[in-house]
Amino acid sequence: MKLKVRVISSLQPSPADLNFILVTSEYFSNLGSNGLRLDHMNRPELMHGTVDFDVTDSEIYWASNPPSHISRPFFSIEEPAHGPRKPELLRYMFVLDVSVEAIQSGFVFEACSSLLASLSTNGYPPGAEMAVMTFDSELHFYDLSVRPLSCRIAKSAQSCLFSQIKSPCWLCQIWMMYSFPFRKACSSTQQSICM
Amino acid sequence: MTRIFIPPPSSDRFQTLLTVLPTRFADTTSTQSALGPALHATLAALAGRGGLVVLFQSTMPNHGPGALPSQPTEMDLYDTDKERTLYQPRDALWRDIAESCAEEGIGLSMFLGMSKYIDVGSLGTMLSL
Repeated sequence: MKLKVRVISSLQPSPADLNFILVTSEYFSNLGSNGLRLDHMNRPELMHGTVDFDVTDSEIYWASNPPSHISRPFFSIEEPAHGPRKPELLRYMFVLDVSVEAIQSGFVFEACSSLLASLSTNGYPPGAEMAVMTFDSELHFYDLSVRPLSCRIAKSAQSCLFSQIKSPCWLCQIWMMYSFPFRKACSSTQQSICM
Repeated sequence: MTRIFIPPPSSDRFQTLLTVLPTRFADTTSTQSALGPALHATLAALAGRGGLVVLFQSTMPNHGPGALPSQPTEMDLYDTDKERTLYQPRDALWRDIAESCAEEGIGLSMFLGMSKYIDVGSLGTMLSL
């Protein structure tokens, strides 16, 4: 896998600053009479504002996961990840407010239409994944892995409703699928699992 | 294994879902909006991996963590020292969410379609950390 890293070089450091920049011995270069490195012309990262490098898939170029916090605002059965983070395909998450005002003003309809229109363009990187979530006073998740939904079925099934909103847990980890009519049963079970 | 993330090639389900969503909630009566918990859930979904959240919001968050009190009387604040509070977040949660998203490599795009006060000063904190 080839990754591209874009290095944005800062402003030209003054010679006084250079005294404090430690570089490896291979990178060392004497300064010319104008105060610039002798190999300045051969160093694109010093010559240009942005430079694209082809890098290996070595871990040193990976972004690192943040240090773990004392508490997290959500419940998860997985330990927080440590160390370098493997580059993965981009995930899109579309979050829609479906409270009365959003529905009545037609904003949800327009948002959905725009998203539908955007699906037919090539705006998404190949292999990107996407999910939909809606919320009013509860959170609703949609399982998209099941058989293709027909409009009629989708009206009544394949969504998971989430009433325990103080510490939402991720439903890929603890998955239960509820159909819409079981709203009450769902919220009580969910609560017991989240506690 | 359940998947809520799917790639676009299998997006006929996705298209169906987007088509029926507006009608599905057509007779909703909930005026509340739990934006804080919703963003916590997206954090849970994308933590350790990163991603992009696209949010469509039209009600001021008024339920659960991060709920904002009702609209301040702006006329009392204009031309006073307190006028700048209109541009500041009214709940610390929004800044916390922004910081968590930045740490986890999660991008957030927001589309606001409101007819009433939605407190862009608070919500905008997440976009301008």
